Amino acid sequence: MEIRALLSIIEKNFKILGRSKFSLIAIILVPFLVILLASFAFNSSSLAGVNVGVYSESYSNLTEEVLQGLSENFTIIKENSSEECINSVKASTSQICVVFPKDLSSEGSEEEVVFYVDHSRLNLAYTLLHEIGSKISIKASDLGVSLVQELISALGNIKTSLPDQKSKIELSKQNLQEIIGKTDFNLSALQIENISSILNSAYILANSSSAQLKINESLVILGVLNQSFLTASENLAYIETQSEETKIILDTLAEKSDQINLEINKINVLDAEKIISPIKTKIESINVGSNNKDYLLPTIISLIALFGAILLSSTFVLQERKSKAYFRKFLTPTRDITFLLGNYITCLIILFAQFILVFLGLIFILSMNFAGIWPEILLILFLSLSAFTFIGMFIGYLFKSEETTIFAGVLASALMMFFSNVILPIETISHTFEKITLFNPLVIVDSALKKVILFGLDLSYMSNEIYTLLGFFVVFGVLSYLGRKITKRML
Amino acid sequence: MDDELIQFKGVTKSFGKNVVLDAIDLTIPEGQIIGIIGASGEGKSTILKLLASFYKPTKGHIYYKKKDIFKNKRIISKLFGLSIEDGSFYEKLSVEENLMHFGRLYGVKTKVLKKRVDEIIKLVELENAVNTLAKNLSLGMKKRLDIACALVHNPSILIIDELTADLDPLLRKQMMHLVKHINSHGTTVIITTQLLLEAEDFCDKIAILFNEKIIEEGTSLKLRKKYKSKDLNELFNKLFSKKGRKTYQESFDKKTKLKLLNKNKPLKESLMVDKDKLDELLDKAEDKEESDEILRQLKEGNKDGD
Repeated sequence: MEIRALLSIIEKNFKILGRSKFSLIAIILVPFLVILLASFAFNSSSLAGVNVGVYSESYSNLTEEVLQGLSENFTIIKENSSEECINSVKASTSQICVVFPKDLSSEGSEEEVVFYVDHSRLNLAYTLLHEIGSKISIKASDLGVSLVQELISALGNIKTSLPDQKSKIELSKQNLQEIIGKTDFNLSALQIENISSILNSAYILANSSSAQLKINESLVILGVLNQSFLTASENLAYIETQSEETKIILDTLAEKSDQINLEINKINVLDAEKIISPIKTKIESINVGSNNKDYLLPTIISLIALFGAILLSSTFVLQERKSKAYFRKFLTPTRDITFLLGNYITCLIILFAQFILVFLGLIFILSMNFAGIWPEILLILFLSLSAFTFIGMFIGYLFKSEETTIFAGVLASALMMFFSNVILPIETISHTFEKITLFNPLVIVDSALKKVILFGLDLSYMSNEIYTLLGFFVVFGVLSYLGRKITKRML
Repeated sequence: MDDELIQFKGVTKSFGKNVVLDAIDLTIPEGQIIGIIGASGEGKSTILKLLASFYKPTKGHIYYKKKDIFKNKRIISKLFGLSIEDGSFYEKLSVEENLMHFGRLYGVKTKVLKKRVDEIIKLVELENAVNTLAKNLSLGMKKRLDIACALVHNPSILIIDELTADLDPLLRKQMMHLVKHINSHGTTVIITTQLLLEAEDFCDKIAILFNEKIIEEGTSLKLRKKYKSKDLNELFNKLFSKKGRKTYQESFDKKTKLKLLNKNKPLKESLMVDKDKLDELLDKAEDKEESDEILRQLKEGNKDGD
C-alpha cells in the first residue's frame, strides 16, 4: 500500500481546500446551521401554528363548547359563510375548515359536521383530520354517554320497581281468589221455593185473615227476595267470570313482569361509556418523551449526509479532473486506487468534521442525549457517508462539466429524497416503486438511524440496512474506480 | 547500437477510426536531445504520451533498453518525466508543495525528496518562488515548475511537449538553456516543437513527423545535406511541396493560431513580454475579425490586472 502517497494526496487536498477558506467554512458550517435551525424550528410536538376556519349558520352552546376544546390546540377563525371558510383553506389562511350544522344540539342533528381539507398537503391533512376529528368525537361521545346514562337509569328504576309491582299483582290475585271464594251461597232458589210453598201451605192452614195477610206479605217479600237473589246470583256469576279473567290478566302481567325482569337482568353492561364505545382504543407512542424535532432528526441527519457527501465528493472529483495536475497523476506509478482512496478519505474526514459539529450542537445547544448509541451511530454514519461519497465520486467521473456534475449530483440526491419517507410515506407510492425505494440508500440510512436514535435498538436489528449500505459502498467504489480509468482516456 | 535507449517498433496509435500514428519506427539514443518536429495535429504529443506510457499503442511496441514499457509500466514510469504544453501541477500549491507532492507520488523517500526538491528548485532557478503559489507564477516560471515536476523523481528521460510554445524569445532562450543544462547532467531529453530553427540549434537528433509517420530522422546536418537545404525551414518547404503541401508555414495554420487565442492568459502574458509576438500574430490573422479577437483578448486580459 502506498501510504506515503496516500497521505500526500490527503494533505494536498486539505491544503488546496484550506486555500479556499470561504468554501471550507461553508462546507463545515452549513450542515451545523441546518441542523440547529431545523431542530429549533421543530422543537415541539403541537400543531399550534394551525388555523382552523369554522362556520355555522347558528352557533349553539354545544358548537361553542366544541370550539372551546379546539381552541386549546388550534387558532380558531370564525368565517362568515361556508364558502369563505373553504376559500380560507384554498388561500392557506386556514389549514382546515369545519362547518357545523345549524344549532347543533345534544339531541342530534340530521346534518353532519363537515371537514374541508387541502389534500395536496397530505401529511397535514391527515394529521388535522385525525386531531380535530378526534376532539369532536370526544365531545360526541360525551353527549352519547349522558344520553345512554339516562336510559340506563330508567331501566334501573323499572328493574327496581318490578318486584314490588309483581307482589302487588300477586296480592291482587289473592284478593280476587278470596272474592271468588266468597261468591258461593248456601241459599239456593229451590230453598226459596220451598219456603214459598211452606208459606202457601201455612196460608191455607191459617185461620186468621190477619195471619193470611202477614203470610201474603211474607210471600211478597219472599218474591222480592227471590228476585234479588236471582239478580245477585247473576251478578256473582259475572263477578266470578270477570275475576277469573282478571286473574288470567294478572297472571299474564306477572309472567310479563318476570320476563321484563329476566331481560333486564340479562343486560350485563350498565356502564354508559362501555355501551357508547364497547371497544376502547388508546394510541400509545413508541417514542416516549419525543417531539417533532426528535422524529425529524434521523431524516435531517440522513439528508445532510446525502446532500453533503454527494455534492462534496462529486465537485471534489470534478475539481481534480479540471485541475492541470490531473494529467501528471496518471504518469506517476501511484495506483489509481490510491488516488481514489485519497479523495474518499479526504471527503470522509470533511464529512465527519461536519457531523462532529452537528452532534456537538445537538448535545450542547439542544441538550440531546446520545449516550450508549454512539457505536451504532458512528457505524451507520461511516457506511452511509462512504456509500454517498462513492455515489458522488462516480457522478464526478461520469460528467465532464461543472454544471452537469452539480446538476446530476442534485438530481440524484433529489430523486433519493422524493422516493423516500421525507415527502410522503413510501407506502403511499405504487407497489413497484415501493420495492425499488426499499433499496434507496436514503431510506436505508433513515430507517437505520430511526432504529438507533428513536428506539435505541442495537445493530442486530439493522443487519439488512448495514449489508445494503455495504453493497452500495462496494458497488459505487468499483464504479468510481472504473470511472477514473475511463477519464484517463478522455485526457 | 549500444547507446540505443528507446525504440519504437511499428507503433500505431488510433482513437476509434482516427489513425494518429501509423507504424512508426524510431530510435532514441541515450544522453542526447531529440526533437520531434511536425506540423500541428501530426501526432507529436501522442508520441510523447505513448512514451510516457500514458497511452497504450494500438499496434507495435515501445522498448526501453529492450524492455517493453507497457509490460513494465510501473517500473519504467519512474524513469520518465513528462512536461506538457499546458503544464500539469496544482495552481493552489506552492512550488515546493507541488514538487514534494509529486515526489511522494513517484515514491521518492522523504529525506531524499527534500534534498532533491532543493536541487531541482536551483536547477530550474525558482529559488525566489519556493513558497509562491503556482497560480501566481509568470508563464516562464510555470514552464520551469512543470519541468521541475517532471524531474522531481530524477528520471533518465525528460519528455517535453512544446517546450517554447507561447513563450517570448527571451523566455525561449532561457528554457533552451535550462534543457541543455538538464541534459548536461546525463538526462536524455525528448522534445516536440513546431519551431524549426529552434530545433535545429538545439537538438542533437531530429525526427520529422509527417502524415502519421516518421519520414526522416537524423542530425540536422545530415538532413540538410540530404535535402540540399540551408536550414530546416527550407528543408521542410521542399519536403512539404514534394508531399503535396504548399509550405510548412502554411501548415502552422489557423488551427494553431486559434489554439493560441483560446489561451487567454498565456497569450496576454506572452504579449506583455514580447510586443513583436503581437505583431506576428496580427500578421498571421487571416481577416479583420481574427485580428480584432486577438486585440479584444489582450484588452480583456489586461483588464483582469493579474
